Amino acid sequence: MSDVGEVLRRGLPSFVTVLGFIVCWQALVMIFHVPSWLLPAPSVIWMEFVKQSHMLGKHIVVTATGALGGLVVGAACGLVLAVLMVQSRLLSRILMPLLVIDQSIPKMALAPIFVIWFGTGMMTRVVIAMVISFFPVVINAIRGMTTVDRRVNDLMTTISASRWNIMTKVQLPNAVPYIFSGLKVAVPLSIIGAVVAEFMQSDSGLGYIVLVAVGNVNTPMVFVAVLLMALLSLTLFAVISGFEWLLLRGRFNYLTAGNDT
Amino acid sequence: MTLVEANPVASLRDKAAKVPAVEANDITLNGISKIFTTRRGDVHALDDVSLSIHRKEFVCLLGPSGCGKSTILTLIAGLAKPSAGSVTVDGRSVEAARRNHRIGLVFQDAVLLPWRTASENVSLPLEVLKIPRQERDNRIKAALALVGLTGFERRFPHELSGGMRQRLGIARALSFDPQVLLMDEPFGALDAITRDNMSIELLRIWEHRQKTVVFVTHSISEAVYLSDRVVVMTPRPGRIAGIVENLLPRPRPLRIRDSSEFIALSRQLRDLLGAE
Repeated sequence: MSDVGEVLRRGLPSFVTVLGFIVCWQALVMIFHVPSWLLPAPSVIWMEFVKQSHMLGKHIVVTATGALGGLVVGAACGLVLAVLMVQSRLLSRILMPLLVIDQSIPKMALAPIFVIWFGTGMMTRVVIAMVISFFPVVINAIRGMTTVDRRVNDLMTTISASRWNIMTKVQLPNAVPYIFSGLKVAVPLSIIGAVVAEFMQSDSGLGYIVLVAVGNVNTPMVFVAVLLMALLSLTLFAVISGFEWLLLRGRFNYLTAGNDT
Repeated sequence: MTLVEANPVASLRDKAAKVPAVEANDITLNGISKIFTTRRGDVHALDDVSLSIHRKEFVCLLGPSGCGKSTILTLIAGLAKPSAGSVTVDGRSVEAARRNHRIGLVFQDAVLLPWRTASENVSLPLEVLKIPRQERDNRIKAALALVGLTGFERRFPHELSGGMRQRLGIARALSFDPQVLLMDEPFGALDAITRDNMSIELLRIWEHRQKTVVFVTHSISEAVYLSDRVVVMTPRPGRIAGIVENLLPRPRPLRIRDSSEFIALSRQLRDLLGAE
């Protein structure tokens, strides 16, 4: 019971702020008679959402699938790459500059190429989401695996622990909180990736909805789609935080201890 | 309570000490030099150090920071190679000792894995040694009981006090039953009272488990209280200034520190430390 009270008490300030923002927005639009094609009032956006909700579900699913697919594949590739790079100094020296160069390439500019390679279907969404979401996972996983106390490695060395043992019992567990940080950064990136793919050329998804709505000067619908993207991102973020909590419950308290009062 | 118990093992040791018994050398350092190359030039961490440590002996390496005492531990553990000279453990190379899991390490701040519970931390070396689960559980239980941590099996390191974390570090080092225990200022970060208790505990464990202990410290009284022999070291370059035999009777109550023999021994060590 007191936990619920605590959550409410902590969440209240930001809730009030958001509510205040929406109220001001509504009020200003009404007072100054801003036309809805320029800036729709929150009530107009809400009504548009209610009116169109029957056809939105399918588009949400398509974008979510693309983003999540890209995130999962990207994270898996990132993790494997990080493990290999930590294992082999040579590989790390070869790949690290390539990774940085890769990261410097604006993926959005490459999107048309991906459309040529992978068509206008789900594949392009997944690929673009993947290439922009995997970098934070690689970097964080490497950081997590290499910030092990040197003396723990000494300890493992004196009992002739194998590389496999050191990797699975020390380096990977040590990297888990870092990997979750990487995933949290990757979540919004994966949605951007999926939406960019839909901007290129497609017949479904929230990105497609935005294009169509802009074409029809249906600004409220643009807002509906953008807010749904944000909601999607928040949901994925919450799911990942949930997994993190389940996995690390109790175990990494020293990381957060003293952070909250 | 462990102090007043007559310790048959210890009294046997005392008798043995009076007879000129030939005990096997457990660790031998022969003409060791260690030079670290840094950007500002070479640093002579150790210069021509020779030392023999007997089986089941408790040896303290005493000296100020930078005298190379911790470096000696890393050489015995095989974590670094000497620039000159040789190290043998049980007459064989340190690599062989490592393969046979003969060396346990204890550090100043325990160095536990924060995501593992107390028993999971003790379990780590046993998992690496591929000890079957049943046997592993027994050993974890025994090791935790030995250091007085029964009942704290499921606590995480951050839920334990400094002294308890250090006990856990010792339990982990003892879990796979190595012959040699290398301890690098293990009580250096503890408060004075906890430190006294830990010293008593360590001697009890040592007498019980019959280990060879190499214990690095910069506390004269700690060295005198614990050791069979004290190796006094001086820095720049790290050298042995003298080796002092410590014949204080065992078991040793804390009040032995007030005895004239204890004080005389302390003075002797202090003189050696200040000699250069």
